[in-house]
Amino acid sequence: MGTVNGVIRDSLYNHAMKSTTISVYLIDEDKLLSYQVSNNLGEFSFKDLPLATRLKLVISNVGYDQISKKFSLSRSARTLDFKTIYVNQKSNNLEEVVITIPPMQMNGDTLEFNAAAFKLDSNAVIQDLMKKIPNITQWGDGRITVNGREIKSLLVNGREFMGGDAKISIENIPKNALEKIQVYNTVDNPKNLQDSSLNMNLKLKKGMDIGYFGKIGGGLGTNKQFESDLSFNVFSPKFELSLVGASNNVNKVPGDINTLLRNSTYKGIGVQLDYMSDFRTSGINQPNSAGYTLKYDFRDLASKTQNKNMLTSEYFLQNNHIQQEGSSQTTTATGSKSDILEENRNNSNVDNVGHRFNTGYQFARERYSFNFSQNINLNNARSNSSSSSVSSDHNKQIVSTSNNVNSNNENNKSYGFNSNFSFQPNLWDVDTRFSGLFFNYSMKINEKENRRETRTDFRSINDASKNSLFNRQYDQRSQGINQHFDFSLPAIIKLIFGVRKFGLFEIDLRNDLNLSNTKNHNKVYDYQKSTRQLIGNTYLTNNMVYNSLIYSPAISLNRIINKNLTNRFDRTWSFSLDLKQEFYYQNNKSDKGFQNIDRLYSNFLPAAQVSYSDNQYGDYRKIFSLSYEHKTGIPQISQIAPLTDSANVYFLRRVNLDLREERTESLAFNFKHNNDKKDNFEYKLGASYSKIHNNIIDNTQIDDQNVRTIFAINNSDNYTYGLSGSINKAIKLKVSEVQLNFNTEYNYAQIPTIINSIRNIWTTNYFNNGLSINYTYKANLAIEAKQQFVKTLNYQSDYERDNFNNTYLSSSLSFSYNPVKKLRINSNISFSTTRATGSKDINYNIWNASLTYRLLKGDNLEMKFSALDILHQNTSIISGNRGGLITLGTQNVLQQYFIFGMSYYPRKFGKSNKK
Amino acid sequence: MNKPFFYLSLFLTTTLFSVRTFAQENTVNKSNVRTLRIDPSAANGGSMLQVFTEISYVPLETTKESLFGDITQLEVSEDNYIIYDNDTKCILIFEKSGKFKVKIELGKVVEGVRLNSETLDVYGLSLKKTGSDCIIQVYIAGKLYAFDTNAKRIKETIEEKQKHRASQFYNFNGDTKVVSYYQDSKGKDKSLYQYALIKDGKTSAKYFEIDTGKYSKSGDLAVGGPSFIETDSPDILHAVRYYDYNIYRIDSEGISAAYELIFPAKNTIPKDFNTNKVYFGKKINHFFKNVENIYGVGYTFKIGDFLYFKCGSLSSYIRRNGSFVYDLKNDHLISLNRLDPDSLSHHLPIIGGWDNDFKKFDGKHLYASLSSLELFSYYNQEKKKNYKYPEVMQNYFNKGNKKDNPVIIKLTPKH
Repeated sequence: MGTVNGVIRDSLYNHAMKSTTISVYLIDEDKLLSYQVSNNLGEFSFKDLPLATRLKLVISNVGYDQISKKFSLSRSARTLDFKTIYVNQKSNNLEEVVITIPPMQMNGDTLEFNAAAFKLDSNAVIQDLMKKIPNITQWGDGRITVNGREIKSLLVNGREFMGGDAKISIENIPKNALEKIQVYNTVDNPKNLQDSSLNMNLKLKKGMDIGYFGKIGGGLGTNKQFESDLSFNVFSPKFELSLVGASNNVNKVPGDINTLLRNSTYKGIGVQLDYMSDFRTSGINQPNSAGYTLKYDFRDLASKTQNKNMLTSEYFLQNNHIQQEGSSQTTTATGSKSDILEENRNNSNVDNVGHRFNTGYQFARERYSFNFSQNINLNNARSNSSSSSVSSDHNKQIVSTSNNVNSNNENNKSYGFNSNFSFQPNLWDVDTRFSGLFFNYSMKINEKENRRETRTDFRSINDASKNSLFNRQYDQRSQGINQHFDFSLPAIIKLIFGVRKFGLFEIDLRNDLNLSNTKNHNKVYDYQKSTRQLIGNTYLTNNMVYNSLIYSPAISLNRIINKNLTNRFDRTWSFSLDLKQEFYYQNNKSDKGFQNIDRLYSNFLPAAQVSYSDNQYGDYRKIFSLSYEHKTGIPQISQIAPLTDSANVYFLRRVNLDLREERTESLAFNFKHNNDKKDNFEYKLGASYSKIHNNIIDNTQIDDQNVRTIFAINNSDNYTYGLSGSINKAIKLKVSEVQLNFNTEYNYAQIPTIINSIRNIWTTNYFNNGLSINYTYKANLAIEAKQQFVKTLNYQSDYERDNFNNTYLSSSLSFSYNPVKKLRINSNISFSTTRATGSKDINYNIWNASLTYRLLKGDNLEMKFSALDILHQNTSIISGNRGGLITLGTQNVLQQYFIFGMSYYPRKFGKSNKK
Repeated sequence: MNKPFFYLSLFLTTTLFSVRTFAQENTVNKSNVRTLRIDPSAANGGSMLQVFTEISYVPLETTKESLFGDITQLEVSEDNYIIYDNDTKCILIFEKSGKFKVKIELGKVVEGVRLNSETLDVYGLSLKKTGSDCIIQVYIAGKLYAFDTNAKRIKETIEEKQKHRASQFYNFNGDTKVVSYYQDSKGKDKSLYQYALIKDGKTSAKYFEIDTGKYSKSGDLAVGGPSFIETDSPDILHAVRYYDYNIYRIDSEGISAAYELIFPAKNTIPKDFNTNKVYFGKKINHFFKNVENIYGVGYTFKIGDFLYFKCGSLSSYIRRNGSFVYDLKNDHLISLNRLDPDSLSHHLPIIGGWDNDFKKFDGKHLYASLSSLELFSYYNQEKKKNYKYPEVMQNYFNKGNKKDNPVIIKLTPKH
């Protein structure tokens, strides 16, 4: 390996050329080998250059003529010193000189990477280009860092592209449509230049800011499995429209349009770990979705400031059929009595149809902004379900059984409106007393209709008088309106007493008002077999009007202390103390006397926060924060005064008019450390503690038929705490990259229970550790190894015997490999073990693999064969302990299938079809 | 990162705000102005010898007590370097060798102001010669504080009862003095002037009225530096204004325009920038939108045939390459940022990479400073070249680190 050195100077004005890009190319292959920027004396030095090879040195600087020098390093000398190379400022020569575009250059404060300097396959997308640039790291979780600093926003031609999701931009826009990647700092607060964030802009070639892209695909598989999806996006600088649709029966349930867009990106040429069906989802889903999003930006194309003037609209329709079945066993530790056992089987079929329509308008100028949005949601859910339970006592003798069949039809309509306005005064006016204001108003109107029919057959083995048969019909209607006002006025000391009059602390005022009104009309009928008539159930038929008013004024005392030594460090302490009083007024009027409730809960809810940041220039940044807060949990009518529905045979809720609010006190600590150097290293630590006073819990009485009668009561205090940590590290090697990620979490919780008047506390210790290693080699191979270990230890404080432990261990190995161009092999195998007290170890391994081949010149056509759950071992396991109710069971899941699919990616960027 | 690059004209609005009555501004003589064409991209580099005859380095001692941020203002007396640091709001006094002597914590000294030390507005200090020693004077929140060079507070009132308010003054030979930020507290004219000439205790001329109206609250961008810029003649001072490319000459007779700098069109503010209402209250935003525009000049020391100056702009190119010397004899523009570190500068740089310039001219020497972060990063880059540095610097590199106090650079300019 050889070395090349030199110094670059301006010939006319006789000075060293700083920040000049020097690139070395292999002449025969016309390939970029290496590049760097000259130091403050104009010096450069390349090491590890190949010997006896024809090389070319290219020197480029904005405003200067480019210089190119051919050379080769002999095996004997190995070192070449160009000494001083002189460059000339660009003359206004009309003669065009053929120039080589430098891979990287400094253009003022902007770091630019020129797409044309990197030779890639014609079908490469921006993501493929980023992988070739050593300064840019793309993390497994989607984050992008440049020289170790995280990118806060990714824009295309200075604007948000397709909802601003970086994945959608970099996996769709062809590398050949890109002129350059620009990386620059923006100052968040012009008064403090250290408050800056790093941004990336993808500058497209001229005329490439208009076009379309999308995907149309379908696949058919064994076991009648199918999937199909469509996404079509049109864009121009001011206008964006996306149309999406998807239908499948393989548990790919998109929650919104963005998820559909994210999962139908083109992805270019490189290796990619596959996006698979979720084999963990229980049940079989058969969703059909469709929708659009539209955005129109009224801004002048030249305006680059924070100005906003934008209209958005979105519609999303989803209809999903969910089929679920499962069986489980629940053991209840009763304390004095021995355990009782309940065996359950259930299955359900649900049809959900939902429409969501949103529109919004945003307007912002330098000092003020406002936005309005409204949404309409229509939802219909029809379901049929049945379940059967067999309950046994501690001698494993059956004491009762129950069979239940349910049908349900629910319609939900809602309209929501949200608006906010904020104003801030001129930042430069140092004498202004007024520091701005913020106002928010939102409203939601909701209407619900529910028709339900339930048939329950309960039989007691020992006491036939307890047998019961219900055939009940419910007609429940409710209308509600909820309004929320939020007004805040910061820095009132300055407002009242003037600027620089009082320096100890500042006061912010906040006001929060929430008004809600709900009307419920419930009609319940029982079917009488003898008369074959529906008889009104006078106990359960009810009319209720519930009103609540929550007003929480808060005074926030705050202070920021900044210690700064130029070029050494910048340390900031920030303190705040919130004094908040919450008035919660609850009023319920009902046909049932005991449900007439009129209460006022008044609680003082203080909160405090301390944070400290230490930025040591050129070394590291660290941030600590400690926060303390109070919250209340106000008991609802269903907890204070429920109407007991005896058709719900195993669980009967009873009235407790003495129920009071619970209060949660919590404390959280967080720490984050990032290195300022280029080695991409960060770690985080966290700790939290919370204590609930007057905790609302269930007080359960279990009779001989194992029927539970439940009162909500206020228990004494109990607490939880947790610890967490993570480490991230990326190592960039010459043609490969390694990323390491480690996460750990520990939680301790106490769950108090009262069963048959015996108080008990279940203690839970939860550990979750995850380690993942990612390795990528060029654009040909990506490997990910993951290890996860989750352990839950539960024990009952007074009864050592009732330990319940649960372990989940999973190791997975995924790879993506391109053996030849256009062909990609993906494989993902995971080995899982679930171990729980009282049951055998369950081991199951899931192996998914796929083969993808792309056709046509633009790789527009894709054929894919996937084999999922090849080992046919997928299982869904229910295993848990909720305050002494230990449940073990299984549920139906998606299992082995093979599917063959074809997709077409229509793509056009720019007016002429250049792909 | 470096310190904030602009100095808001807080002074105008916080201490001297008043209602304008009627103003009587004297006219500035513009008959003798010399026009200089300045193209920052066409400035020459070359050797240090073109401009300086001697360069030496003085590391300022770093102890727990003497640690400070940046040299916001440097004053040089017979025996001491007197430094004002805005990060710590301290005045630090060092011996000429760089040894720390004593410091004045202004946050602890200021009386009757219930403020945090970090929001204390200090507009620099001035030195008053008393024989071989001097008195340090600081004007904070309407009060004048005075100290000797041992940081001892001088209790007695130094100034006689003032008929006017002013922030700094300079005495010419004879009975004439010039004051800056002048406002008459008794007369009819309550306007604020950037300069006023006082002869025999009477105000003889007032120059450059400053708007104290509502637009003044929106702040201004200024290059910074002293309000009285020394030249090689004790009878002549230089002065500059906001958004003005003229260099003004102040002498005992009054103010006249001495040089007019003309920049390339892309670097020049609109002609009507100071008069057109569309810019009022939005001047700072204009520079955020037109970063290449130069908002002003400063540090315009004239020494022999050399005119030193610094251009202010938000453009990173100009912030890195904004310090110049104009050879008035040969019409030759030299960029101080482009000079090569050579044997005269002991192979070390003389000027920082970002928004840095000379801090002081004391009639003989120019003084600059570099942070230890910059010097150590330069030293590490050049390590393999094994230069022999002066002993004091070799010691500094061996024992110090990048978190040490800045280093003062003392340069003897050519005449």
